Amino acid sequence: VHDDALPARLSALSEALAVLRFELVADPDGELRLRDRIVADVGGHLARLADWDAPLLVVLGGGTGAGKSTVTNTLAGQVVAATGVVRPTTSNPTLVAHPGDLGWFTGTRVLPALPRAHGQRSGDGAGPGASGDSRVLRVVGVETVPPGLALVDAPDIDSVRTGNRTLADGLLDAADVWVWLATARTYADADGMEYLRRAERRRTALAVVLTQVHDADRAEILADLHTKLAAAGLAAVDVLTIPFAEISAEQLPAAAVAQLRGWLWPLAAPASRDRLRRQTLDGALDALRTEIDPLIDSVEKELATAARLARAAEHAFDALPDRMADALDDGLPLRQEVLDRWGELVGTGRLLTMVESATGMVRTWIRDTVASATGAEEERLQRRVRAAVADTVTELIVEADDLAVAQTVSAWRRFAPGAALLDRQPELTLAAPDLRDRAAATVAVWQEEIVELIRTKGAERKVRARWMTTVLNAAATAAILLAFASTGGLTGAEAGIAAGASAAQQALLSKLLGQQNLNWLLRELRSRLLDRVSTLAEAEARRYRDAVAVIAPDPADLARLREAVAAVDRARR
Amino acid sequence: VRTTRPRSAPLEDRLAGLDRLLALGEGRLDPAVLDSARGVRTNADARLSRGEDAVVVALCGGTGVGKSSLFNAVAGTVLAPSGARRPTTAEPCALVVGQPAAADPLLDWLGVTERHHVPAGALPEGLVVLDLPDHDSVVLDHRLTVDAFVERVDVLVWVVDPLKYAARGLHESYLRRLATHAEVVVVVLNRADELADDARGGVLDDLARLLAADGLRAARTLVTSALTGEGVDELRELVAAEAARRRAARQRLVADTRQVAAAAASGLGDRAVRHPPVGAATGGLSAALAGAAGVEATAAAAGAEYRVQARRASRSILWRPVAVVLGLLARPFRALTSLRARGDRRRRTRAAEQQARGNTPLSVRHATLRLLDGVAAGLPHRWRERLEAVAGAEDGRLVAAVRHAVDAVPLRPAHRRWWRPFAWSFSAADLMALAGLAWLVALGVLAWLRLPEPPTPMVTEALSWPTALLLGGALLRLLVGLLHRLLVRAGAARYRRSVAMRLRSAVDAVVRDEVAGPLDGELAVHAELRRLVADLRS
Repeated sequence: VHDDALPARLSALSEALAVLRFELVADPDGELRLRDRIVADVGGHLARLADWDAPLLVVLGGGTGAGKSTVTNTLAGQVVAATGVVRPTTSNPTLVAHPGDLGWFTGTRVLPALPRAHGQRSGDGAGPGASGDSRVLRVVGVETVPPGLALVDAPDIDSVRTGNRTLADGLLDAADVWVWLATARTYADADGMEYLRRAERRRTALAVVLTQVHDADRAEILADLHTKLAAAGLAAVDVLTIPFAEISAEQLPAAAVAQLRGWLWPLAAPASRDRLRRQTLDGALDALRTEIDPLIDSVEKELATAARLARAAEHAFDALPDRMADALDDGLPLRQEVLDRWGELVGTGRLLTMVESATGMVRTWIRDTVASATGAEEERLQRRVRAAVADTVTELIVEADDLAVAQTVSAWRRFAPGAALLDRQPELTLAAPDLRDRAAATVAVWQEEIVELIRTKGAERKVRARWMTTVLNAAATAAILLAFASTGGLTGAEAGIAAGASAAQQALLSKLLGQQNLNWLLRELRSRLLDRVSTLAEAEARRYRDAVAVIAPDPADLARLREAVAAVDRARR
Repeated sequence: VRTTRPRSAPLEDRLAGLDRLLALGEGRLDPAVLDSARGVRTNADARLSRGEDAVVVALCGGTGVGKSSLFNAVAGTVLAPSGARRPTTAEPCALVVGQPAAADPLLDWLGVTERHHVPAGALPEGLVVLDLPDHDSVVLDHRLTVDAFVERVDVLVWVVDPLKYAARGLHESYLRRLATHAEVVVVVLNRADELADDARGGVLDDLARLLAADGLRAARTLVTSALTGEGVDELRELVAAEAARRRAARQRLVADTRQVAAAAASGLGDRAVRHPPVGAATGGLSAALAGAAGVEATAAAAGAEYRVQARRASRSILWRPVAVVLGLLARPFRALTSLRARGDRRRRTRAAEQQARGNTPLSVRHATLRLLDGVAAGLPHRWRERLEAVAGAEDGRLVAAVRHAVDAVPLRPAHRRWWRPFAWSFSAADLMALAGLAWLVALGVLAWLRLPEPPTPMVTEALSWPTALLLGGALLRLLVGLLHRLLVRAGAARYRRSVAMRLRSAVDAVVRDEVAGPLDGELAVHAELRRLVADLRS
């Protein structure tokens, strides 16, 4: 029982399934195959609903060697499908119908993906030789088949050629009725019984045909088969037999299939057609939710995976500023030569002479003259130290980022989807190529900012315009060195040197800013650098989050899929 | 019947190799691989301890292929029921030829209770043939039984028929996994009577192609029909030959070691080249550690210390009274000692802080990362993590060790012999000048008191001795002072360099012992595992 909205709802479900890509599943083949199968299945339902009066599609399925092709030939009364002893024999399915019904099958009614070939067998029925890619559905018109019925000889479901199984699955899903063939020797195979269980789950209209039955074993085997079918929940299913008989010209004697024909031909009547088609459709739609559930589970698992990967990256990059702060607390690892130069510049008080103090004209004149004589040298020195400081801070940022990248990569590698993602995008195992440039730019901006801070804190009144740049830049460098004083592994005397230099730095900065402002500045420049590093780390973490987000499923898609499944159910009540 | 006999190490060597693999592989190989290796080891012990005078041949295959019929045909009598109802055989059944001592323990181990004994004759003493249940029917228990037997029996005879020779379950779940066991696998195409003569060739070709795809090109194949008796004699001959040779059990176990080695190989990566010693690549790490331990700054401080010591040791005897007069005495000492104390204190706090945080400086961690990038290149991630742990980059142990090593390097320059003569020279110069000065002052005082001036000895006509002493002493002090300054500066620079060198080699030694050594050791384990696996696979 369903309403007119069902086709639209089924189309919506099909679309909701088609957007799933399972890119965060380590080995998505199973999921993709299931998705394609359900999409094809839903397509089949749509076709059924659109062409309700089409001939009843009866698919002959079973393991290899069950005699599907031979039985098809016998029912058709002529050779329409190749038979043989090399297993598996059939790789291209054959559809047999009354010539008047062939029109139904030229369109996309059955297996829209398969190209059609018409007429008698054209020698393409060979087994192992036929390539799996160029499969066709051969459509043959035969007068002996009653109008309203179409028989399909499907490939096997249990041979080493998995392509056959995929094709047979598609045909069986599209079928209105299954005729399941098994020989007296293979009826208890687990593979075949698995299919019969599926038919039971989907309430597909079904007949089980036992072939190659010797009269002597008949009763015993039938009893056993009934037991096994009952165990699979198929106690009420029709079981037919085809006795063992000599095959001539790829057909059995007509009498051998009389029972099967007697079961099949009446199905062509419109009433039974309608009934069986409805039974199969309703059963399949009822089973739909159960079949889609594994896909929904996979998508949920993907979302959890995506969250986990993103969290690992965030965890690593969130720690980057802290790591940077620790490194800065250890002191800027400047080379000794740079420190010596710096000691020369500030330790001797030469810079201090450039800072104006409120003394008489004569002393000011003398200071200016001295400063003029050495100013160019001072400027050069301070530039070198400033550049060295910038390089060192940049290097620290790059190293901290490298560590965060390594930490992220390590966390991802421990986890199959993460490892697969890294293999697909190996550039993620390294820092962004332009990171060093961006870090250097960040440091340059930060240094300028400190100069600006010192200027606004009242420096302009005390420094002669002529030396403004040199003094301010040097003061900024001094402030940085003071804030990140290198005391980590110092020995006594060296600490003395550092202390001497920092005393001179303190003097310079105090003179420019006053002690209170200086303390504020030291705190400020530290937090501003860490803020900028945080921004940079955030951008780096985004690379990883984006890489995950690009292939992660959209939670909205999952919601849409759930809603589409529910909508199909609603349309049927 | 084809037999292949690749040259390979005897089983005992392989089992010893497997033990070594298990010992080394703990924590380094996939636990699942280790489990299967342990399984092989257990099976080998169990099989060998039960004696080798019996050879166990098992007939396996899908339901309905005629295993039991073939079993009966080999036995020459009906022992196992064959029937139409599928699956027919539920319990394995054994045919024991003669009275081999190993038969009962083996069948107990395999869990076969139904045993039929026949005297040796047509079949040789020691042959045990098993008829197994199917592996492909709806009865799951049968599959589990078969799986257990496939792990343990000596020779596997896979029976197929024209209907099932291409079955997916057979090839994917069993034959493909036995690719290493071709020597002990026989594939029998039974029910050949169902094939017309002209169809037979095509089916056999197809079967051969499928077996080749499974990696079982070397497996022996036979065509039989339990119904017509075709090929049954050949099958009897084949199993009889296996029983007579009594080698199958070992061959099977050898194949097991090969199989488990193949599984282990994937966990070792495909880097085949020998690793260069890690020590060649630790330059960056040493530099980072040297930086973290303040090697350069420490050396600079040592140089400064040298200057202080050299100056102090070269002081003139007049320096102390003069310093006392001028109040200079305590200053340099006080300044230096207080600075040292302060620096030491700060350093200790800092080191304690870092230790408490378990914190390794950024530069050191980064250098370790780069080192491992090189060392672990081409290795699976599991090994990379292992090497990371071995290198101890994260636990702060390394930095502590370096600090310790650096602290152990003495920084106090030893007394140099040439310092003392400078003290004499300075003293002499000072005394000369002082003597001249005192003389002149004395002369001046005498002149001021209008006392008769004693005769002043003259060096030349224009220069008196007191003046010469004063000026000569001053000049001498200047010249010697200049020389002293030059020598001390050069000596300090040299001392600084030598301290830096000693500190660096202390750091290098730590890197060698704590990083390069363990990493080399771990890589050597990797190389040995690769060698073991390669040997086991051969």
